[in-house]
Amino acid sequence: MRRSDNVGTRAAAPIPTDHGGRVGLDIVRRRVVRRRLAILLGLAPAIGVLLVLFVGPLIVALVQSLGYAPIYRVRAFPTFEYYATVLVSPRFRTAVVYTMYYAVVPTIISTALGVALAVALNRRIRHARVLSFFFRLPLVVPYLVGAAMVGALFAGGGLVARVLYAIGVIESTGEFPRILFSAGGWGVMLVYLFKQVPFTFIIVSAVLAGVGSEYEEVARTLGASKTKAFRYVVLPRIMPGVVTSSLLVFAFNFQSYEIPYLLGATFPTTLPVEALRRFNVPDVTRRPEAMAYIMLITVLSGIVLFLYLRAYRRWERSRGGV
Amino acid sequence: MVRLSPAGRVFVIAMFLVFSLPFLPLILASFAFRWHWPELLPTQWLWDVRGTTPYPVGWDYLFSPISGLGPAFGNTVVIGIATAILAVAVSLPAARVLARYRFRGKAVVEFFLLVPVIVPQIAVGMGMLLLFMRIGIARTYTGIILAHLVPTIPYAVRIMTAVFQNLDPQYEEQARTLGAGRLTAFTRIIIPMVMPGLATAFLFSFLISSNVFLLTFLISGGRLQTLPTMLFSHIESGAALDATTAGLVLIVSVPGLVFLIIADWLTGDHTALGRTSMAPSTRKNSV
Repeated sequence: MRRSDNVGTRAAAPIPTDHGGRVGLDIVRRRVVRRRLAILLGLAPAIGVLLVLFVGPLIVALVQSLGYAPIYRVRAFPTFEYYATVLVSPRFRTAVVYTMYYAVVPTIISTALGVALAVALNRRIRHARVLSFFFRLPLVVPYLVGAAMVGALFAGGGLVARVLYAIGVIESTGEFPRILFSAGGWGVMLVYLFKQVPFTFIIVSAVLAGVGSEYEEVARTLGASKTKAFRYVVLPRIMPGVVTSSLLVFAFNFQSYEIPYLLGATFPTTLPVEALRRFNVPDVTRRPEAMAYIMLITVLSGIVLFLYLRAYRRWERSRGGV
Repeated sequence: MVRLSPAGRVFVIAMFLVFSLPFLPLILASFAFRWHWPELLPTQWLWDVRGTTPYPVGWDYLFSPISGLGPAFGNTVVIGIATAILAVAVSLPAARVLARYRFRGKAVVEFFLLVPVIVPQIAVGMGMLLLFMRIGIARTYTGIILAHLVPTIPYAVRIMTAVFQNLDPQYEEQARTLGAGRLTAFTRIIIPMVMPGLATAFLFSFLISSNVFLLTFLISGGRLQTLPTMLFSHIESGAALDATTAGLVLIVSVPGLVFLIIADWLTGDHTALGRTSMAPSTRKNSV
């Protein structure tokens, strides 16, 4: 009873002191307990489900990557043998380079285009809602739809090649540059752009809607050039949205499987494609290698995202931001 | 408002074309029977050859029982609805707590509820497949629905947290003061007030579920087809302007299209599309 004093100070509600304090403290105590219970019970389902379905699988993968997989008669736990095998293989290193390349280039391009588009459409423009409806369309369809479109347009015998043939730029399908199934990865990156320019546009637009166009107008009225108004007035305000969207875009590109599998080269390819290839090798005793692969993908992606966020925080601080 | 420069207008229109035009060749291709290099348009259409081919082609093939489109569509809808119901049910109480209370470790909880969006799905998917094989729910509806909860819960929590933040907790308190029980206050006051947000979260969860490929692909092991996995195998084995693949792409895009229209309608802008084209006149009237 006496210890409830402590708890009482944490309660948000006023302390009822009707019958000489004793009963009042009891009520407070009960309220605090009930509040804690409400928080715990409210969070329990979502956290519980994610612990089982999200953390659980990651732990299974981690444990197996360290050599514990009794189903395949692998009982070497704990061993870093599988990580070592993966890390020294040239295929892994090539895949890291290409995964980074396929992830970073579209992130930069879609961020630039998406921001430009959001800033442009933040102004008065006719049919803005219709336009935004069409920009949102790629956002709500699977990446595979983008893959089919890029295939139809940019395959050797695709529509772009046909248009070029019709206007006399090329004379056969052989002269059309190899966009799909090539190490250059333009087919892969075009699919990402198709989905991610609109994505960046939506996020930055939402931030811009909160910022409004008044600041920019004031800056322009006071004589700032268009680029200066953007650089010093608009950009700092939309920066959180730009960072969020580019972070999500990068995180997606880094782990995408189906797009590099369908439109990329057989070799070199990306980490997720290599990982699933290892997973499907007939010799199941080598499955822990696939698990090491996916653990490394997760860690690498985490490191890049962490460094990116840290760089952003530093930039914010260097501006003397809040 | 600052007006858009001519160059800016050209940019916006160019981008609009780039992002809306790719659907056109697929619509054409889906009705084509013969579309050889280097023709810009199909030379023979589906209706030209209908009945003369030994087996149905294009749309006729897709809508015939042999294509497997019906089961794939049904699976996508059933899995999507089940996922959305579960995701919303699980996320609703968490969203309410996150919007209402401040407590120690809240930032950690918020981070944990978002992190499945960033962590590579292939890592979760492969671990999950091993886990599900152990407990015997790999290659089942249950397994796929549970898998789809991972990418949907973070979004459902986010959407509904925003909804609860805009909801004044005093309504609930007043209902309780007036004698409503905890449950009554929840079902009669809270639920109706958060209904639009709830519907958005439900629709968005359904949309994510209907678009997920990799998790379904891994967990189903090819036994259960959904629209994305069916499209995947068609792209994998088909030519660039294949009529069946093109038709399938259009069907796979339907849930997203419906979502966009409903979302516009839910946010109260259902007349926006019609209004925009006559914006100047309505604006004059209102002033």
